[in-house]
Amino acid sequence: MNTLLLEVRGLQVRYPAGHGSQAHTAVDGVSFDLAAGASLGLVGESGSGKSSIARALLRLVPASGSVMFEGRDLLRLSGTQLRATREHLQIIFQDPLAALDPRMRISEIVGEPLREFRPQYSAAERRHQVLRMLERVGLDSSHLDRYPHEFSGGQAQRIGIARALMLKPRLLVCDEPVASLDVSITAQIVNLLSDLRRELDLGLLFIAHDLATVRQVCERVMVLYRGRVMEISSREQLYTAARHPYTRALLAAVPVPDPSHALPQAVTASMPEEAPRGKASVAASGCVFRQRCPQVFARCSEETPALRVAAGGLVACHLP
Amino acid sequence: MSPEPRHQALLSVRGLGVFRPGPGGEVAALRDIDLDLQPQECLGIVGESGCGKTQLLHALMGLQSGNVRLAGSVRFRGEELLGASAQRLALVRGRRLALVFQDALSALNPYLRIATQMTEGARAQLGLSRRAAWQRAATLLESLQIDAPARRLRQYPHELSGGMRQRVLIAMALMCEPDVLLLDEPTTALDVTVQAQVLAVLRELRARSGVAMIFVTHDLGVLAAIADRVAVMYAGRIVEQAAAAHLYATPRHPYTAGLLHSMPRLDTPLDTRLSTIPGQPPRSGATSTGCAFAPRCPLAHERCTQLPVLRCADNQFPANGTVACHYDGPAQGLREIWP
Ligand SMILES: Nc1ncnc2c1ncn2[C@@H]1O[C@H](COP(=O)(O)OP(=O)(O)OP(=O)(O)O)[C@@H](O)[C@H]1O
Ligand code: SF4
Ligand code: SF4
Ligand SMILES: [Mg+2]
Repeated sequence: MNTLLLEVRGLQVRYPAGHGSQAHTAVDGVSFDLAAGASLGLVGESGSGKSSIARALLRLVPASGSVMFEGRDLLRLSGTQLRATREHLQIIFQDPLAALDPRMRISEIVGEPLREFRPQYSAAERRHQVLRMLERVGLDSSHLDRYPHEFSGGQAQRIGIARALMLKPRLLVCDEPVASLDVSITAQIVNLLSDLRRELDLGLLFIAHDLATVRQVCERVMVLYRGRVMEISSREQLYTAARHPYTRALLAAVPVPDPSHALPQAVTASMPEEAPRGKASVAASGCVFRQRCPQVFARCSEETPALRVAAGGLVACHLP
Repeated sequence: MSPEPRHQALLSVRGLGVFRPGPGGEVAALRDIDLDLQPQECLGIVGESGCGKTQLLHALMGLQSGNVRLAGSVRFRGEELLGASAQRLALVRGRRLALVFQDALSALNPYLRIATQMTEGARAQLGLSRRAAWQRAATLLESLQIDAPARRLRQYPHELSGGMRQRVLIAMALMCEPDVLLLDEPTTALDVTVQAQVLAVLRELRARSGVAMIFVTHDLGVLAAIADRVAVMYAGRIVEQAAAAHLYATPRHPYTAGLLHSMPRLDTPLDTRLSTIPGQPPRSGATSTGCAFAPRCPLAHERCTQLPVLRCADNQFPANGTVACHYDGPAQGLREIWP
């Protein structure tokens, strides 16, 4: 089955000027596809626009462009239509405890989507389904009547996942789902998400700043820099022969837990370490990565590289 | 207690415990910590949240609040610090030991220029003139690869990027030329690219100045890039300590082995499923009589209800490290216990 689940075209997110900050474009013309049941990782440094994309898909921030999901443009739906799509489109966040209402019992939290979208279910039926889902994510009936504060971060993330999957959505957006978890808990959640995706034929948009975690979960990876797509490649391509200089820089910087392995590399010693702050709006022309690119050449400041087809994916760079 | 070191260590910790009052009596945040830091060495300390890493650094620096009780001994160049006079402590802790706090943003005062924050301590401690202190601050910033240091000194923290702020904190700790730099998760809040740069800067600093370091983190990957020796903490105790090369190649504690197998990493074949350690770390201050890792350990056995003490990991090569575990089979055996 290879039907398209999500088709994003020219997505733009602009934040208006606020206290002390200028208006700026956080996501600038981002396009990508996600097939049903497929997984796409979103990586890039802090501020590259990963969360803004997630928020735009869920209409949590104003955005332009188009986001086709199940044949409708999410950016153009009215309130009630939008509510209906929630059944098939869910999100989980980085801070699992903050996402759970502290005054509600776990059975209520996880059962809430059922109460809203399956009003025909009796309370007993609801409880039964909630319990089955809790068991699927590694919790049990003893957790049903407890409150969020009684849970650790890893358990709270399991609860968040259970709630998000209650209505059997077709797309799950995960914004840094393991970033605030302990090392020994991260592996549990990463494996759980990978298993659930296969079992439920779930489309996954998985945001993480950690390339090693994305490698565990995603079949394809999109690399963002200052709101623009640098590369979209298959996992095999990206982790064995990344083509964009920025992707290569990100990969070279990842530390490997083996002292005999090559040391993590900074982008290049002579280059600024990160995107200049303040005016995050992107330059009118030229490659946005050129101030830091070790391979920059004349054309890079004259012409913006378009995303073009290359073996195993798409890349936006003037290098052959 | 482990035997006295052959050479005099720069910093020598024996039986260090940190206890705070709790509803049902005293609660131990740290227990039985034995550590030696040799001159010029970088000792890495790794553990999950709540295992006591920051408490340990704070105890070394004497930063705990009034109702906390410390036990054991902390010697700096042979001189006992626990219970020493406030005067003596101010001299050692202000100058010989310096701490880089965990959160670079909140550790800097948003209303003061970088220069003011960097030079205040050094002027008071070393009696430097304003000009000399500025000069030293600029030199340090430059040595940590911050360009236009004179301009940076006049700026406020929010005008600097995260990586720069972290390096300012490191430079600040170096103002009095300490012998030991204590670093609390110095790269955790940074992007990998910036983390790589801070690690490179720290390695360069070691090579140049020989300052010894205790580097605390939850990330074994980061320590592989900087530590000579690694101590693994679990539930307020050190459970394993070894030269980095040994620890990563042949972990001797089931927890260390589990951590290494459960880390997503770039050097494994694609489609390697992660091992998982079941359950979760105990809440900090939780008490257990036996091995605190037993509820999660595939090798847990009756004997594990007795507390395992730190012992030589390998009797033939005592220098290779110490481990607190009752398992005494071959180290290779630990490879298979994690599914
Ligand atoms: N509500 C907001 N108002 C104004 N600017 C914002 C807002 N949210 C994000 N931004 C800005 O938009 C840009 C992209 O931010 P975003 O949070 O999408 O990045 P990210 O890739 O998710 O980063 P991180 O890895 O830190 O989570 C940044 O420059 C950020 O400062
Ligand atoms: S287009 Fe030029 S500056 Fe941009 S990544 Fe490619 S080589 Fe580097
Ligand atoms: S002492 Fe026992 S329970 Fe503890 S780590 Fe060793 S084998 Fe496991
Ligand atoms: Mg984000």
